[in-house]
Formats: sequence, structure tokens, C-alpha cells
Amino acid sequence: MGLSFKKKVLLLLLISWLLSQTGCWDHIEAEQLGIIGIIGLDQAPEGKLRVTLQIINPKALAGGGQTGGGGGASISTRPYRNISAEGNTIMECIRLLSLHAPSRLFFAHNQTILISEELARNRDIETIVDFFDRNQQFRRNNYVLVSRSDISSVIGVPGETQVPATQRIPSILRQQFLSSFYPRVRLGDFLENLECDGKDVYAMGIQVEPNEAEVREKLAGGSDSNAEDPRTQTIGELVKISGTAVFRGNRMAGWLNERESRGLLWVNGEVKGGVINVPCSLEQKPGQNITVAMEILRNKSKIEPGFIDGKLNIIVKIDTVVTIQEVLCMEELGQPEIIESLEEALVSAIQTEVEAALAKAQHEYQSDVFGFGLAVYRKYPDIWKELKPDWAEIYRNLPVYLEIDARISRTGLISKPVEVNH
Amino acid sequence: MGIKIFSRLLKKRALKKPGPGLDRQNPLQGKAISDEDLKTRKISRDLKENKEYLLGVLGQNADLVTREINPGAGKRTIWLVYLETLVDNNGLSESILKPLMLEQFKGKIERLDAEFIELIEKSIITAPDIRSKVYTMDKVTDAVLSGSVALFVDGYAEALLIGLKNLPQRGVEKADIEVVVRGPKESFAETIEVNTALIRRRLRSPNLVIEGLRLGRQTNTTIAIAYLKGVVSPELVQEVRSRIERIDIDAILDGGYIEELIQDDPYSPFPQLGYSERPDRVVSTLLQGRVGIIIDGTPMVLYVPVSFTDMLQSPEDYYEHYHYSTAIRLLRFLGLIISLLLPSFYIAITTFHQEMIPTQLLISIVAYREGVPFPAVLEALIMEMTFEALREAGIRLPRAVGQAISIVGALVIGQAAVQAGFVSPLMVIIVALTGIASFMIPAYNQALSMRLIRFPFMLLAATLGLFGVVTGLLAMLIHMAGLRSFGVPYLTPLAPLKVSDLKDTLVRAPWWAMRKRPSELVKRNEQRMAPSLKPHPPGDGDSQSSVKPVNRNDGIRASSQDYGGSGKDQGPGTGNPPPKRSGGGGT
Repeated sequence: MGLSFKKKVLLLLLISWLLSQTGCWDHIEAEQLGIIGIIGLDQAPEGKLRVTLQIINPKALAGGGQTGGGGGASISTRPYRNISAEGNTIMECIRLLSLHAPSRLFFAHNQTILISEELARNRDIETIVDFFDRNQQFRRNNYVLVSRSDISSVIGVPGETQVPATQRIPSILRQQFLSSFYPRVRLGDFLENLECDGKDVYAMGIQVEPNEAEVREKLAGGSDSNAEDPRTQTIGELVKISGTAVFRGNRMAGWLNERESRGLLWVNGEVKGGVINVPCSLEQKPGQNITVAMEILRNKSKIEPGFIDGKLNIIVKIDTVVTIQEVLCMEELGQPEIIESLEEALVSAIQTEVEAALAKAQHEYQSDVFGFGLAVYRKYPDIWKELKPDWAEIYRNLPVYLEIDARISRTGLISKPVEVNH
Repeated sequence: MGIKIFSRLLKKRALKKPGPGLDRQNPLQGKAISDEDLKTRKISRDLKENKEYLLGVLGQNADLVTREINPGAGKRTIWLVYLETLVDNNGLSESILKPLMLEQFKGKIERLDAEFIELIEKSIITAPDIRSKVYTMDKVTDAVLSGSVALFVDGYAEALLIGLKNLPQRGVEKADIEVVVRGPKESFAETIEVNTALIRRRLRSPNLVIEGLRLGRQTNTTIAIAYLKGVVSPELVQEVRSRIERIDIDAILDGGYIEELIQDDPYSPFPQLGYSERPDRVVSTLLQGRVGIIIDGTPMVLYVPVSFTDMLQSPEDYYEHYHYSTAIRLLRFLGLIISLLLPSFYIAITTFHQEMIPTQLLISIVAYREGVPFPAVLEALIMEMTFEALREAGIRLPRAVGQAISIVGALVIGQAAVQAGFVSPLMVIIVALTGIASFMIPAYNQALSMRLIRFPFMLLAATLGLFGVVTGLLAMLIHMAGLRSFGVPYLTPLAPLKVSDLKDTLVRAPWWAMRKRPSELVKRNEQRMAPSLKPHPPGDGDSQSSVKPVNRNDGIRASSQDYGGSGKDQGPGTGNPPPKRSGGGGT
């Protein structure tokens, strides 16, 4: 306030001059960004890494009003472009890629980290994730997937719509709760579990599968009129996310299939949905497929370590509520006894899934993806210190008891099945 | 009308300092008459001398009319002087000429000799507004120039000033700027008498005081200070009075002259005075303990003090249901923020913080920006300036051509520029949103300041990103927190926080909940209504809250009690009469 008007004006000019001198060092216009949607990591010869990036082509993706792109030769409308480089470290590869990327590679919108199975099995996982943990552009909500198929085939599948893998993979993952056949693993959780005592990490599995409907179509001589269209070139292939890649320590140990994956999720209390088929009666012979399809509504679980006769054991309490969606045995579901017997059958179906997961993870891979060690540590921190050195051995022979409480809450719109009058 | 008040306030003129000598040349006499001379010149007994002098001052004006009459053909000469363009000719003839010249006064005039001029004043002239005992020439010229007829009688060293003003004036029309759907539609006109009448009509209280004074060395503009005695704080009135009296300027052509000369911080871009063209709004500010400044020739009445939040309020808020008003006020606040920050926010996040944008949106932004030759900040500046230019042109253009500008704006900017790849369609959306949002602010002067401040914010965003925007915001807030409008903090009631006043800021509480006037302005007589006016269903046995069904029907007296007294005299009467709610309201 004490300054005179002239001095104030001078000060203002000085400040604005200073602003212009900063040179806006980290200023970059949005259109100069190469938005990366997927980063894929693969094993390259000589123990090197191959980093594959999917760059989004915004013009093809933005949809609608491409008013500016009128005349001229037809620009490729492919919504993405994949580039890859080989090197010792991820960062090296990324900087190598800048040699031919016309735009500044920008990872803040990356959503998917793909690791090839080969790499996951042969390279220490902490040397892979260090970069993602350290770099400020990567978000902790990136999905971590292990690819059974070749990375470039996974991210190159155009699919039936013009959606690149960049958008397709997160969209598929968003519907994980409809099957619960794989866990949803984000980078943040992955890193956390990696550092966690008494818990092994796991990631989702992804692969390319033939699209049977389209393959059949082709076999039946369906019209493939527009073969030059990049969208239809690789028709007959689909990306599928399913199963769980299980790590032991810092290397991948093996796969859980879909049912086993759900068994893992049951124990972790993460089954948010999915259909479980339950035989109509427990006395059903194998091969007889008269089942009731139940949709899982919610699931809670609790892992309780305890001691019986001085021996450590684990009790897993699983709680779930389901609804009946489809019935093959034409029974009237209004009867409480029938519901009760179905609930019993449901319990045993869940038990089967969990036991399958236990058999694989606990006995075959000896990977503590369930976090039993963590549960012990939380309940008995002192004892854990003693157990920790030989936890791998203890874990392999750890008796696990299941307490499953399943409830059928609704039977759908009808309680009486359709009766066909002859 | 307020004519009496304004003729009375001519006396104030004498207080004014004489200006530097501004000489008048009299072509007839070749004699210069200085302002100094005019101030001190006494009316002479000799009519001839007076004639000569007045013609020397005003004589070269084509519309100056002088007339000599000899009532009853006697020896007394009466000399009338006036400007025919300002005087009502009918009135002149009816109330001055006829009485003076008609036969029946003949004898009278001849008989009474000694008190001749008093006789004219008291018994003959029928005009309602008349001033006698005027001894100096400056008052005479002043009155003549504002539409009075000056009457000189030979042999008397005084003049009569008869107000017969008939100024050209615009009628009371519909409000143009502060348009409301519900509520009075009248707006002020240019004439101070009309404006005063519009206020008085709404505030029939003996406590309403309208003080007058004159400003402007050349324009002699009438200014009035209006306030509600008993509600307003006397210090505030004194402050306004002294600030206005300090002004010594050639001309006051609009309230804006005064605003700039009396505001607290002359460098601040924020308006520290409010104005309104709506009498109802001005009356409501008076009822809140503020002071209104009415200026002749200005169809807006200024009021002080104001705070930031006042600028977001429209009179309609109080007429429409409070749920709706609250929602609208919140929306306006959002509009304020958008009009201030949206372009700079867009620049900052698209050039510095792309990670903040949702992926899909970023993809769209990039797709649309591809091929745009300018960086985002330049694009924004170009578009904002174009928009401002369109707006300015739209105001200046004759009404008939006004349509063209919107077509040009829509086509040139909306279509062609985007199609040519000059600007991205997103920027058009941003600019359009900003424009719409700035129109949402009811106070035009507030919207102006926001429009202006937006540009430095855009530059800050372009150089420092969001960091710059936040720095700018902080600087702005610091400035606003230090700003005062006539001693009242500009951010009141938000900072300093007055919880009880928050009822009428971003939200609008129902009337029955707003019992007190704003506490920052009113220190005494705070209650503006009886307690517990909240309506109940009939037959609700809550007799404590009964409304006193008295006095409500004779408007003036009841209202004077309400304003002057307080709501406290409710005590003994409660409960005695059966609560008759339907009788309340006094309609």
C-alpha cells in the first residue's frame, strides 16, 4: 500500500516479465502428446526386455465431427499404433521409442500393464515393477495382467468393433464381477502385496482365443466382402481375460484356471458375482447335468488361524448370498426343504471350487496367494516371527478347514417352473 | 413531488468553494462577468441595473425570455425572466401572468405600496413553489437555469423565484437491465424527482430522509442522499456525505463520475458501489441500512456499502419462492466461478496437467485440437477477444442491425473458424460457456470485473499452469479480503464470518427466518419483523407465536412503527386476541 502508483505499475510489469522468462518449461500442448494406453513387457533375446506400447490415434477414436479431415488421401483410420523396442530396462526402451514417435509419449492415461508369461516366469517381478512404482506418470490403478499369448497379438486384435485393446481390456475388466473367473488386480494392490509378509502376489491372465462364432461363419462360407478393412483382417480372434497367474516369491509359478480362480476369490471374499452351477440333488451321478444356475450376489470371508493340539491350522469362513436364475430340474422352489437342500448343494459346489484352488496354489505351486501367512502374522505376530523362516514348508502342509454359509435369497420372478401340458 | 426539497437545497450551493475564475464574455456589453463576481453580486434596488446585469450573464441565450409587466397599468414595473425551454408556459400564464394582470387586483396593487413584493408572493401568485427573500444574483441565475421564473420588482433589492419547471423527461419505463419475471417492473428515469417519487412511494415512512446537494461546477447537478433514519448508522451517512461534498468537478453526467470519486480503493477492479435501476431494489437496500445516492440525469441509483455477495443477488430472489431462489443463487455462484476461471482452467489442464483429464475427454480434446495452428492460450485469447468484440459491437449497433451481429457471430465464429481448423470446437464451447456464465451475474459491474480479470488469469494459466491460476486466485482473494466498501469488509459475511447473515448470501432463507437486518450494516433496530412469523396450520395450539393483529391496516402508521420502533412491543398483547392469521398482512 505504501508504494506509489508508478512503483506498483513497475512491479506489475516486472512480475509479468518474470512470468514470460520462465519459458513454461513443462508446457506441452495436448495434441503433441502420444497417449499410451497399454504397455506390454516381453522377453527378448539375450536377456533383454521388449517393451511394446500402444499409442492411441485420437482422431479415429474421438468419434463424430472430424470436420477438419476433409480432403486429401485417406489417412489410416486405425485407432491405434503399436511400437516396440528392446533394451535392458523399461526406461531405456521408452527413450529408444522416442526415436520414432512423433509425439511425446504420455503414460498418465495408461491403464494396462501386460507382462508376458515367459517374462513373468524368468525375470524377478520386482525388477519389472520398480519402474512403474518409481515413475510419476503411471497410476496405481493400472491393471496388471499376465499374457499367455504373444503380447503383440493381444494388443493387436481389432475385434468386432473399432475399439483398440487400450479401451477393450479395461472395459472387459469392468465386468469382472459378472463371472469372478479372475481377480481384478491393480498396480497399487500388486505392489502392496508384493511387499507384504506372508502373502504372494497374483495377476489376471489374458490370452487370444479364436472367436468361434466367426470361425464357424467363415467355415459356413459367410461373406467376407471387405477383407481389406483392417477391422476384419484378423477376424476370428478375441481377447479373453480369465484365470490367475500365481507367483511364488518373485517368479510366476503357474496358472489357476477359472474355477480355481474363483476358489481363490471365495477365500479372499472378493466374489462379487458370477454364476455357479449346483446339481439339483446331491445324489446326482456324474455326467448328469441337471443343475440350478445361481447368481452370486455377495461374498464375505474371514481367515482365522488357530491352534489345535499345538498345531497351526486355518479356518476359512465363507459367507455368501445367491439368487436362483435358471432351473433345469422342474421343482417347485416354494418349498423350504427344497431350498435347504439346494443350499447344501451350493455349499458343496463352493467347497469344490475352493478346494481346487487350495490344491493348486497350496500344494502344487506352494504359493500363499490366500495370505494365510499374513493372517497368522496379524493374529499371532510373535509366533509368526518363529514360523517365518520355514513358512514355505509349514504352508504346504497347513490344514485348512472351510466353514461355508450359503443362502439363497430369491428365486427369480417365478417360484413354480413352467408346466407343459401334454 | 420533491420540488420543495430541491429548491431548499439550493442554499447548500452557498457553501461551495468558488472555482477558479471562469470568465464570461458579454457580447452586448463587452464586459466580463467572473464567477467570483456572480457569487457576491447583490440584487440592486434599481431594476435597470439588475436587468443589465442578468442580460450580461444570460442575455446571449436564445431561449431567455424577459418580460416586463405593469400590473393594473400602475407605476410599479415587474420584470420576469426565465428560460422558455425549461418553463411550463401554461403554468406561467395561469399562475403568474393572469393573477398579476387581471383586473381584480388592480386596486389592491395600487393601494399597498410598502409590502408590494410580499403581497405578490402571498396573495397573488398561485404557483405552488415559490421562494422569496432572494438577495443575490447567483441564486437567481441558478434558479433560472434550473427552470424557475425570476421575478424582480422595481425598487426592491430582492427577487422571487417561482418554480415552474417543465423539463423534458422520459417516463417511468420497464427495467431494461435488471429484468425480473416476478416483481415490480418499473425502473428509474433520468429525472431525480421521478426517481425520488418512485422510492418514496415504496417507503412511506417518515424515517426516510432524502438529503439534497448540488455538484458540478458547470452542470450544477442535483444529488440526493437517501437513507432510513433509525436503521442506518449515522457514521455511514456522515461518511457518504463528506465523501460526496469533497467532490469539486466540472460535470457530473452520470453516477459513474461519483462512483470513481468516492470509492474506497481507487485501483481495485471490483465495484465498491452498487447501482440499480430498480426502485424496489434500492428500497430494499435502504431497509438493510444502506445509503442510496440519487443523481439527477442518471437512471441508476447508487447505493453503499456493498459486499461481494450482494452482487450475486437479484431482487427476484426475494419475490420468488426461496427454494428456487437458493438454487438459482448457487447456480449464479457457479456461473461466477465459470466466468472467471473456465478458460484459464482449460488452458492449464490441456497444456500442463493432461493427466487430470479423463482419458476419453483427453482423446477428444487431442482429436479436435489436431491441426489447430495456435497453442491453447492463443486460441483462447483470440476467441475470448472475438467474443468480447461481438458483445461490444452488439451493444453499439443500432437495434435494427443488432440481429446481424448474432448471425455473424454464430456463423463466423461458431462455424467458419472451426471448419477452417482455426480453432477447436472445444474452445468455442469454452468461450460460449464463459459468456453465458458471465451473463448470469445479476450485477453488471461485477460481471465486468470478472470479464476483465479472466484475461490475466488466462496468461497465468499459460505460464504456470494450475499453480499460476491458484496463485492468481490467492492474490485476488487477498485483495478482496482487504477491500472495504465504505468501511464494510468486501467479503462480508463470508470473511469476517457472520453466521447469522449467511442466511441471505449464497442461499436465501425464507422470509420468516430472516428476522434481522444484516448485522454488518445495522447495529441498532436489528429486527425487521415480528418473531415467529412462520406459518402454522390453523388451529395449531401455539399461542405464543401469534401475530399481533393490530395496526396492520393503516399502512403508513403501521409501517412507520415497524421501521422506527422495533419488534419488541409484542410482549403484553400476545395471547389475548385469538390468533387471526388471515387478517395479517394488511392488504
